[in-house]
Amino acid sequence: MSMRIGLLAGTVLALVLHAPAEGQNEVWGAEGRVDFSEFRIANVVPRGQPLIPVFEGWFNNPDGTRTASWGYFNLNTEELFHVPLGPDNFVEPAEFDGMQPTYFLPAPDDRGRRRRHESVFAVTVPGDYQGQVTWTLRVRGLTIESPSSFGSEAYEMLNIESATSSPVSPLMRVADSPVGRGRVGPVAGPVTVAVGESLPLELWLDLLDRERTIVDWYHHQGPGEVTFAQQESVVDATGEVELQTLATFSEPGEYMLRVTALENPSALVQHCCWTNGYLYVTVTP
Amino acid sequence: MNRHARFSLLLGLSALVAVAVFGFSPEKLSAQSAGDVTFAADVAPILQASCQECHNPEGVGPMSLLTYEEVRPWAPMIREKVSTREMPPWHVDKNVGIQQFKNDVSLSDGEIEKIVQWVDSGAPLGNPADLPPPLEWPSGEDWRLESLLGRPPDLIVPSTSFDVVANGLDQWHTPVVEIEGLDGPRWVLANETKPSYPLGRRVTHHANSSVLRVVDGEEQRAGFSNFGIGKPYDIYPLNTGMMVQPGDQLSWNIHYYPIGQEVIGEVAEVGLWFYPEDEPPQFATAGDQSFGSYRSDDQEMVIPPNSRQITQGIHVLQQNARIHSFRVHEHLIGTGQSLEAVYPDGRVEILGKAGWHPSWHITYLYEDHVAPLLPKGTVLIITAWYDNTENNPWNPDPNTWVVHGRRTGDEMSHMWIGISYFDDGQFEYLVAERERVLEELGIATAGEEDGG
Repeated sequence: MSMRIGLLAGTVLALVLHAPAEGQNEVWGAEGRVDFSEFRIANVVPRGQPLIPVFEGWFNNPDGTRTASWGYFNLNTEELFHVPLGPDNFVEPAEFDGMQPTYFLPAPDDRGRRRRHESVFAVTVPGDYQGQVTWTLRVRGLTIESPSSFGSEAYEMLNIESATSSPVSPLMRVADSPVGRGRVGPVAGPVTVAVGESLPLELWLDLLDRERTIVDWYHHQGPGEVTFAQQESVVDATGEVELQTLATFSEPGEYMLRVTALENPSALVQHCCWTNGYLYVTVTP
Repeated sequence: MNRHARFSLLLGLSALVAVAVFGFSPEKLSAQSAGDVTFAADVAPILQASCQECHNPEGVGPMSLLTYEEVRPWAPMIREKVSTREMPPWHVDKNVGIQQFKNDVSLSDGEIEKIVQWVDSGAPLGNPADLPPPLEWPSGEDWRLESLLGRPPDLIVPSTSFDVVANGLDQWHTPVVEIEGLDGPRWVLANETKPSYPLGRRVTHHANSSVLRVVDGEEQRAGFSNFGIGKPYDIYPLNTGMMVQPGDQLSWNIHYYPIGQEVIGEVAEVGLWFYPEDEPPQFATAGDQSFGSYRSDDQEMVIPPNSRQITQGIHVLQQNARIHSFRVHEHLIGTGQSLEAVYPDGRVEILGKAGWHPSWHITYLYEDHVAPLLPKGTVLIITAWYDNTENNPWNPDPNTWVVHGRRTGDEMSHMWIGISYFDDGQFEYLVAERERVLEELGIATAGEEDGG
């Protein structure tokens, strides 16, 4: 059993919501069958719900390697989580640890928007890798493991091109990174900035023949708060474009920013095609 | 291996298992039994009524079951499939809810018993003179409704073409096309969706369409046609139709899956049968509408690993309504849904409950005299069941959290309900008409049963 959920006493909040039927949310955990029902798992509420790591799927790469991707579902609309890398937030085997987020945004309160955060990081394994890769999060007393499902046809995805309504991942360069595309995308940095100072964020995109692209910057890792001068840009253009914005940081520490270039939200539903980029930032006092 | 291939393999393995379990042999099959049940007199009529529509040389069934020679090798598996009610595919729970449906292909207990007796007694042919005359089944290229309605479609609306790759992942094609060929408003009494034959039918998981119309600058959308395995057409209730007019568009939502063979230029068609221009129906239908099995604002699909879950969607009808059909829609983790009504007077009625099988998209069409009439204020409750454990044979990985998505490995849960809405005058007329019909049929109404 690769899924283990442990409950710590006194850490859950009962929610006065629609009562699930008997038998709902019984989950086999490390210590046997545990009662998960106090979380009313299908409900998205302001506070008190868990944070779920979600395995999104896997894809084959042209070089024979394979990549698995995860997102997360914060079932709270107000409560955000900081979960530093370490015993409460790790990927196993350890060689694949380190790209997962530590900063987890709440779900948008507006049902009209996507509430889940899809494919926020990815792990690439050698072609002859036989095992699975597991992301573990421990939040509010729940230890939740999300294993990859390499080899399962139902979770196979495309990365660069598909026949969907958002058919091609754009090319991206973050700061001085190499050009990359798809979920793994380019990785840049570290760059250094002081607390309170503005860090210029330089982004180059080749949007090919896409007519509209939505570009979003996210706080991915790091201890404080990050403020973007323009968190989201809608680009009505084709071909090559350059975008700039600014980020400021509230606390010193090691950060990672994530940027996504997405044609439309249906790409998330259809699991293709967009590009993630990452920027390491060292913030000094 | 794609799901089609898995399904075929499952079928083949079932046959092997059945042979092993029942010790079947050709010698036993050809032996005449002292029992009274024979293929000619008893089994062939059942197959004609409930099986051959799919199990003919051009049907979707994996083998033809038209003749004794074709049926005999499959007798053990047929026994297994019908006695477990896996075949014919009909997933309505027979213990609760309304049971009268226009398209009910399920076998009665007596029919199942006959088949079991026939197989257990050696599957004898019997007297060939007892065989019913063979039936003519339409080709895969034919419109199924043509034989029922006596004419080909009055109008055919094609999708745009799509190239389905030989191997790869599920694909979606969502073109919007003009409904061309209309001189003025027309009322549709039936529609049928037909992918190309034979390859198009094999790669099409579903092909649905909605009618798009711009009214005062606002785009209106009405669920129109739906195709899935086991569900090729819609016939609206008596004196009820959906109006289409020049300028309307058809918005397609087609889900393809590769079958190991490239299909170039696949086009799905929807055929429309109209009411006569001078005899429009009295009532308009809203067509198929999607009713979620989650509460609208605060619930999302999050199914933990190795767990079972139940959710409910609550919908208050703002208008008087009549439901003429329902269809469950889930993916691999869902196992079924139910539809309940809580009437304004507090009465609760289960309108239908059906299991879910990912290979079948069956629309359950109520007989006209039982199609639920629901006064405004009625609360509809859609309950959905999910099984994300290893006990669910379709579950790709019970250790994975399951969330909402269009991909087959993600999950969906909504019920398609064929529904029409009425003003108070129309509704009173329909209620009175229903009471008259039930009286003619000698069926007591709920109020009379209650002494009311």
